[in-house]
Amino acid sequence: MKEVMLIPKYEIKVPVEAELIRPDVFAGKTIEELSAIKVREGNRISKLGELFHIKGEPGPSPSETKIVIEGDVSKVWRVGEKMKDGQVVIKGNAGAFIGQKMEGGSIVVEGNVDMFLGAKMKGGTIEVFGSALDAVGACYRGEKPGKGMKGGTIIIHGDAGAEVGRGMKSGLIIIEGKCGPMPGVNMKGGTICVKGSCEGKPGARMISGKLVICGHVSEVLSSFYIEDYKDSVKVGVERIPGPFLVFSGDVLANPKCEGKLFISEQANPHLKPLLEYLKPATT
Amino acid sequence: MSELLIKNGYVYDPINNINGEVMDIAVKNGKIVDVKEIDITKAKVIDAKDKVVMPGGVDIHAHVAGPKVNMGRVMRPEDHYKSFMKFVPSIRRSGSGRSVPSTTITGYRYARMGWTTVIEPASPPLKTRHTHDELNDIPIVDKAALLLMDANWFIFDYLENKDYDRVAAFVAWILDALKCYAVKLVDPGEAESWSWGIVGLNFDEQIPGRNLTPRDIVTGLAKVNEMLNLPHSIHVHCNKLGEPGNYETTIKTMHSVRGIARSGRKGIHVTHVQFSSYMGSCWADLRSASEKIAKYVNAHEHASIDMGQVCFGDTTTMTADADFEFTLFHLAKWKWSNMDVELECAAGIVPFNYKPSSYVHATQWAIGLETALLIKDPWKIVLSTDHPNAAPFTKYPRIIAWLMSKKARDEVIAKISRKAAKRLSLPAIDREMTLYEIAVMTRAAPAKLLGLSKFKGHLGVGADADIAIYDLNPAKLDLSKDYKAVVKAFRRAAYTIKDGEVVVVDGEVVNTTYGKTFYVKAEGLDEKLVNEVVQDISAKFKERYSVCLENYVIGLNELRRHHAIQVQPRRGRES
Repeated sequence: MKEVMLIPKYEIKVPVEAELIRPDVFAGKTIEELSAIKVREGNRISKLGELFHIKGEPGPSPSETKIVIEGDVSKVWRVGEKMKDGQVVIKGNAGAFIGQKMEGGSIVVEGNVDMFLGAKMKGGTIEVFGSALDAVGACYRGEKPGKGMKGGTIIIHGDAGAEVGRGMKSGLIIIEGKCGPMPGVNMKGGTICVKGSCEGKPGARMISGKLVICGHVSEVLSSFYIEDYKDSVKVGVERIPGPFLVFSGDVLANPKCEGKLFISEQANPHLKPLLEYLKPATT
Repeated sequence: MSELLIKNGYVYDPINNINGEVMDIAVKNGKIVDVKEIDITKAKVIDAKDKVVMPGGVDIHAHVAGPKVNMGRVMRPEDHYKSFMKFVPSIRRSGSGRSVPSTTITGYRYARMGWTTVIEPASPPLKTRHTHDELNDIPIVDKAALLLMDANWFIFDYLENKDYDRVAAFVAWILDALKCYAVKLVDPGEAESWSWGIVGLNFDEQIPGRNLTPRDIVTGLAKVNEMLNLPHSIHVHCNKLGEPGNYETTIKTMHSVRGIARSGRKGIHVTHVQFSSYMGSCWADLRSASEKIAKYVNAHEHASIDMGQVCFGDTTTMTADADFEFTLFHLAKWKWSNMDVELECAAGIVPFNYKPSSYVHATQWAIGLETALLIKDPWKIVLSTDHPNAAPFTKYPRIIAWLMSKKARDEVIAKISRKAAKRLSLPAIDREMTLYEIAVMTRAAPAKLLGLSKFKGHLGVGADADIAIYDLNPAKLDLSKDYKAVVKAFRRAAYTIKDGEVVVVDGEVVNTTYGKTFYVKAEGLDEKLVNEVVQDISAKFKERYSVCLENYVIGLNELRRHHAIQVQPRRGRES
């Protein structure tokens, strides 16, 4: 695998729309051709060579190309959009819309990312070692349930913001830290696992899918029914030890209550009284 | 102002009986003049050889501005990702949206298709200031707003006492005070009965809490319309809209006002008639009642209609028929917003997707076309989609192609629900409209129905220089077979000229101008009666409204460019 390194020439202060920074575009190009790639910087069109020092050489095909961005690019948006193969590594903070609509390959971010990480993605993996802001793996605002993430994996080692996996249809999102309000809102399938606490309203209006919260939740929405008590739950390939309270819902969005909400019993002693409802009725 | 000469085009100007003659059109100071009056050496010449020249299009019914449209924009961010227009410095402004576009690109898109006049058909009186703010912001096109009066308590109070003089004084006052153009009735009385929890008011059913029926409102306001001599007839969205079996109500509504209008004037304009021509008892056995509606309209001179043609795809429904939106929400099960406007009316918004595979939607698609094709006189039916309820206005070129070509219709029929296709009478209709008839339906007829035909909708001397030139050669092409050329030509006009200024060249906006807002001003009213009515309203405003009467009235300074249409009320007519 061959590597191309991009190093910002100066501190980027206005948003840069760089949807062309992806292995599919870089593969088989010379440094001169790469420098001429157009990116929109604020209200004007610049060239990639004006923003970054470009070193190294891309591979002949996308799968043999690795793009490494050194330094803080928190204003550079849409890196890896629609990528199908190859690797992107960002050694610093990254901007919004990283890996949106991606179909394959991998993205690794060593710092924090902005909003809409992996929005509407269809495949591939994204790993973030810092934290992410709102709408991880989400659909755009206002879209129907099921228009969000359709496949692939997102792993965030830090925290995430609000509305993780909004409208997602399939795929896996794992958040090692805590998350903001309303994870899994409008979700129609797939799995979200939050290892830390959640700020509230988990699974609001979820139609189907699996949402696991291992930390503290202040309350479960009243449109969820307690259904079961399980010792562990399977998330992707790993099995997370519990015990968990299992809720189904959201009855407001789907009267069949096909969404499953797993909430850790240990971290949520205030939910224990709900277990009473699981006991068989006595006369 | 510059002079302009449009040479050698095939001119279609139905009001002046010009059908495809090769003519020159001269423009001076924003008006059409005789060719001799301009200095040919100095005038800018547009070569329209092998092109079609028509008056600028007039859209009689399109929800383009107002609080309801704005709520649609707020509700549907996803509609705005789909399409946008870029900002071009000193030429045009930016905007986004497909079914509920920004005000700016609403004007640009109309101009790109060669339309130059648009009527916003439903403005809640209390929120008309917002409507005018948005109308001011729509570039290029001329516009006007119709005022919702279907559940207005002041009108109800006067109508209950059969005090038509006071209704007339009130209507004249409010049209002038709010700078609106005509009377709009949406599901008369329904907003009132829905607040009592009753859905689907019959035409002869009493409105709860009132000694009135929808029939009283329609006939009462039709009389008042006639007393005031307003340029447009009453603009009615019928009761029971969107319910199977509602065609009887539609015919009853049209029939109730016969004999009220004097000869030569229309008594009623039934809008988006497609939604009001359903036969059957439920959605499963829905059938088209287009033949019945067409038969009635063919036989009577007092009624005119517009199509409300459905096109397949995603759109946003918005109407002042609040209970219908409530019903629709339960069909669509996604987003919904409703609103009740104090003592005046209500409204709602629901995004909706018309699918060709659905029996109901395919039937709806056919009803509009059937009605248009079965009505023999194109002066009685106007092309509309009830933008954005049945489709965005940008679909007009497709509808024109369907009307002009059986081949185009057959191609769609092959793709729609089989069950619907078997039951429709559309495949049996062979009529193909000519460009002249299209010019009637999109230009001359709406201008005439709106009472603007003195200076809109034609190319005679003295008319406003609103001209559309399409790159279409009717002498060479067989338009019924080559319908794609029709779509292409109407989608992007070769030139659009507004008030004598070229605003679109080859389908791209080259100039941002701002059109006029029309409103009606009645002159020679009985001053004493109007004062009495205003005092009466003023007292009720203090009691019931959230604003005071002084803030309700809209000043002329709030309109960017205004144009009053003076009317002389008829005298000596008793109720």
